[in-house]
Amino acid sequence: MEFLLVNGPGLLFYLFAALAVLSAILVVSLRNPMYSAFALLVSFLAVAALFFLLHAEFLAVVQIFVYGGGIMVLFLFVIMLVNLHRIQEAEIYGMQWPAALLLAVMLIGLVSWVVARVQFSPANLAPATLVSVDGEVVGNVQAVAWQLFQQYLLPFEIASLFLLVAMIGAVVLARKD
Amino acid sequence: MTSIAPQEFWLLLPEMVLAIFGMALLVAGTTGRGIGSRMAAMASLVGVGAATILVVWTQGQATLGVPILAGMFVLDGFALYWKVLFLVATALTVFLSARFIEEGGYRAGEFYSLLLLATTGMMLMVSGFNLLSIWISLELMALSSYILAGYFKHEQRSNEASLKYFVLGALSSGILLYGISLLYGATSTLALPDLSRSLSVAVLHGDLLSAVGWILLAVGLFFKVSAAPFHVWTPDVYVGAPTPVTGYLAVASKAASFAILVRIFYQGLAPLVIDWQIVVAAVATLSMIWGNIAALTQTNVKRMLAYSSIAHAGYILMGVLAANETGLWALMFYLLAYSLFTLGAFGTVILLERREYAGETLSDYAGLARRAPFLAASMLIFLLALTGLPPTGGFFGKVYLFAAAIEAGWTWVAVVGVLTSAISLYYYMAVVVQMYLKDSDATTPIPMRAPGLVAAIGFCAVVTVILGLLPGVFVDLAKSSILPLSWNLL
Repeated sequence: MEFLLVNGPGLLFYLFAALAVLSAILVVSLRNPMYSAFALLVSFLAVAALFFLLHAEFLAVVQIFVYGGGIMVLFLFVIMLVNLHRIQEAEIYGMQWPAALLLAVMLIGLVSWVVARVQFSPANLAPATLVSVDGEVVGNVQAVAWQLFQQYLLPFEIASLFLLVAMIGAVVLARKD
Repeated sequence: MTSIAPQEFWLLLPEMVLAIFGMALLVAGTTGRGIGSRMAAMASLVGVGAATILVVWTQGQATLGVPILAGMFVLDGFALYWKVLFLVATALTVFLSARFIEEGGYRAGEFYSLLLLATTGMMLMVSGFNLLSIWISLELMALSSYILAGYFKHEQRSNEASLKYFVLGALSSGILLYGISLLYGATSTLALPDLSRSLSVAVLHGDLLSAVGWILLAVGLFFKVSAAPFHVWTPDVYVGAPTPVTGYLAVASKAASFAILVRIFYQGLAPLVIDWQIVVAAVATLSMIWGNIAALTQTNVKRMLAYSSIAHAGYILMGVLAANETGLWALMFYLLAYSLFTLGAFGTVILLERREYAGETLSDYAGLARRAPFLAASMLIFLLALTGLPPTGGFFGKVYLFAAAIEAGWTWVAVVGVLTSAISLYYYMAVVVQMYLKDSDATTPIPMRAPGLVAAIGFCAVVTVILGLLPGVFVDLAKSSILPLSWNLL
C-alpha cells in the first residue's frame, strides 16, 4: 500500500505514456482509417492524462476539448466524406519509409540531446505554486482565468466578435438563396 | 497584476455602439425576407454617425496617451484622426454600396453588418497599445473583409477573390503572429512601450531572435498594405470583389494597416529605426516601380486601379521611411486625400457598371464627356489626383511625402517616386483620352439613377479639390493630432 502511495504518480505516468505511444503506433499501422482515428483519440486522451499528472489541469481540459473533441470530429468528417476504398487499397508504406526512418532517428537524437542537457532539478519537477490576486494559492485554471479576465480582458472581448464574424461568414457563404 | 476600473469601459463606447449596430443589422437580416437594402443602409449610416460623435466625445473624457484597460488600449490624437477617417470612408462605402447590393439581388443585412464589424476592428486596432490586442483586431477586420470580397457568391470572380484573399491573408496573419511570438520570446512583453525599452537593450547585444521577430512582423504588415513584393493577392482580389468592397479594401483597409504599421514601427520598434529604414526603403522603391510598370498594360480599370494602389503603398511608405515629424503628418494627409479620390474613382466605376461586372474595360469610357459630363469631370479630378497633379490634394500629398524623404536624407527614394509618378501619367491619362477625345457608338446620356452614389462622388471630387486649394487647414489638423503623443522617434 505504501509502495503504491509513494510511486503511484510515477506508475500512472508510465501507464499513460505507454498507452500514448502504443496508440500512436496503431494510428499509422492500422489499415482502416476509422480505426486509426479512434486510436488517435486514445492517444490524445492519454496525453491529457499526462497533463493532469503534471498539475496542468487547464492544458489537460483544453487537450480533451480541442483535440479530443474538435479536431477529432474534423478528422471523422473528412474520413466519411472521402472515398475510403481507395485509401484501403493503397500501399500504406510506400517508398518513403527509408526517408521517414531517417527523420525519426534524427528527431529521437535531437530530443535525447536536449533531455540530456537540461538540468532536472527538484524545483523544476515540482508543480509551480500559483498565487492569485488575493494571495491564496490557486490551481492552474484559476490562474489562467485571472490572467484572461484581468490583463487580457480586451483581446478576449474582441475575440468574441471575431468568432461571431467567422460564424456569420460561414452561414452567408454557404447558404442557398 | 493590473486591474481594470469599470469606468474605463465607457471609453470603448464608439466601438461598442458600432458593433451593436452591426449585430442589430444581423438580427434584422434574419427575420422574414431580411431587411431592405435602403433600410439597412440607413441604419448603418446612423450607426456610423453615432460612432463618430462618440469618438469625439470620448476624446474629451480620457487622459490622452495614457494606456487603459490593462495597457491594451490608448486614446490619443493619432487614434482620433484615423477613427474619423475610417468612419468617413465607411459612410462613403455605404453610399457606394446601396444600389449595387440591391441590383445584385443579395441580402443587405449581413453585408452592412460585416462592413460595420470590419470598421469596429479597425477602430480597435488603431487604438491598440499591445501587440496582442492589435493582432486580434486586425484579424477581426481581415476576416470580415474576406467574406465581403466573396459576397457576390454566384460570381466566379468573387469566389476566386475571396478564396485567394483568405488563403494569402491567413498566411500573412500567421507570419505576423509568428513574428510577434518571437518578439515576445526575445523581450517577454507585448506592450509597445515596454517592447521599445527591451529592444533598445537587445539591439546593443545584437540579438538574433528579436531581429527575426521584427522582420516577420514587418512582412506581415507589408502584406496588409499590399506593398511589393507582398502584393500578389491585390490585383485578383480587387478585380473579383464587388466594386464597393474593392473601394473599401483599397481605402479603409489600407489606411488602417498603414496606421498600425506606423504605430508599431514608431512606438514599438523605435530603437531599430536604422534597421527598418533599409527594409522600408527597399519595399517602397519596389512597390513604386512594380506597381506603376504593371499598371501600364492593363485594360481593365479595376485592375489598373489595383496596381496603382500598390504603387501608392510605395509612395505612402516614404512617410514611414522618413521617420520624422514631417513624414508622419505627410503620411496622414496623403492617406486622407488618397481615401477620398480613390473612393471617388471606384464610385465612378460603380455608376458605369450597368450590370454586376460590365463597364470595367477602358473602352467603356469612350465618349463619356458627352454622355455624362458630370461623371467625366469628377473622374478627371480623381485621375489628376491619383497622378499627383494640381489643383488636387494628390499633388500636395505627394510633395509633402517627397519632401519628408528628402529631409530625412533618402533623396534617391524620392527621385524614384518622382520618376514613377511620371510613368503613371501615361496610364491615368489613357482613361482621360478615352473620356474626352474618343467617340463611342452610344450617344444617349447615362442616367444618374442613384442620387446617394452621385452625391458621394460629388463629395469626393469637391473635397479632393479643397485639399488641393487649402492643404494648410488639413495639414494643421494632422500636425495637431500627433502633438500630444510620446512618439519615441520624434
